Amino acid sequence: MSLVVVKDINYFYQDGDSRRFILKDVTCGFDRGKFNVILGESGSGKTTFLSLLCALDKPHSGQVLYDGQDIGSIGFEEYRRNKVSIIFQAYNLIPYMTAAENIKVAMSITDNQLPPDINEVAHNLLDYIGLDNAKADRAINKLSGGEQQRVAIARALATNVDVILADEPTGNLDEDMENEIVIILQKLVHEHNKCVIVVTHSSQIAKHADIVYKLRKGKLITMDNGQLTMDNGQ
Amino acid sequence: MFVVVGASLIILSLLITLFLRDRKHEIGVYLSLGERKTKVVVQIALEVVVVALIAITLSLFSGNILAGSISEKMLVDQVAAEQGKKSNNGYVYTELEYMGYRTEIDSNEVARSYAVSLDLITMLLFYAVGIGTVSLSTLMPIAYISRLNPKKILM
Repeated sequence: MSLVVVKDINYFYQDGDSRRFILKDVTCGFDRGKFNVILGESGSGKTTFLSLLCALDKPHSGQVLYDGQDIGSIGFEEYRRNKVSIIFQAYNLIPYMTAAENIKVAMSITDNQLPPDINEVAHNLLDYIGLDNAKADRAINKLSGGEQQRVAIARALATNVDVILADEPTGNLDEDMENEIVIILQKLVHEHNKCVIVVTHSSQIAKHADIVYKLRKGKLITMDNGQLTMDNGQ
Repeated sequence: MFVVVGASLIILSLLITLFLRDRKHEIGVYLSLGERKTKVVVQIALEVVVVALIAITLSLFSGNILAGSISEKMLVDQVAAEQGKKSNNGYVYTELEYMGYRTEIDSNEVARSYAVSLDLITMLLFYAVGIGTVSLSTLMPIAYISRLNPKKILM
């Protein structure tokens, strides 16, 4: 069974008397240990879809299931706290804190017991994604964009969740940094068996994915070797 | 006192809400990480109350010292002014008596009314009214936080 399942999701914007559907009867499953990429042009609904997966928004109809359970019944706050983690395009770290402190804050918010050596754990995580101790103790606003995104990925890893969602994680980065970030995301999948779901318009990232979907006109279509295959991943 | 409390409530509510608007992004990050809204609200309320406690304590004791000095100076000036109004028999008239009025209030009573004292009841009342006003003024900011949507802030 897929770890995250969306069933008959509908999401629309009310435009006077008519409805503009962003997502229409979308059904799909995402598995552990897979690097999933959802491609789509600007305005296709990628960010909206991700916001439903991470419980920052609710669909107008349909369900999002985590391990067979509706995320509404889990509770949106608890779901975000203990089940999923989000990597944003704009990093969304706390700027007056250091990289290590951002990691520790994320760990303290989860319901997991804090390790006694939390400082060491935070530094080890940052080292794992390529940030040395000096940069780990630097304020976020003193780090480059690529370094901040690494901190955001380390924050996602620190919460020890099974699902990592990324909204255009390389949107603000150059090509070299994009490749490095993709390598780190692949490590999360293959070394930590995470379910990684990336929404992007970058076909470069899609080349590294295990499964690629395309969001077009409110429908999610699976792509196989660049060819469209099935509707809604079924 | 009610006018002061009412004005403080309004001003503090607006100021705290204004400060929170600057921290909207930070709060949005906490909410996106799954932090409970109630915990964020409690944190903000605690911050406000702790700052208020420190401010009230400082103002209570510094105000007491300052008020004591000012009232003493006023008394000295008053006494000095009345020294010049002696009658033929050496009796020192008060200002009112000098103007032709008769009063049963003597200068010792006037001096006592100027005296500034801070007993325990006054201090407790000061803290109670201060903390109560500050706590009530967090209601508007709490309503503001409750309506925050992390998706709109961060995405």
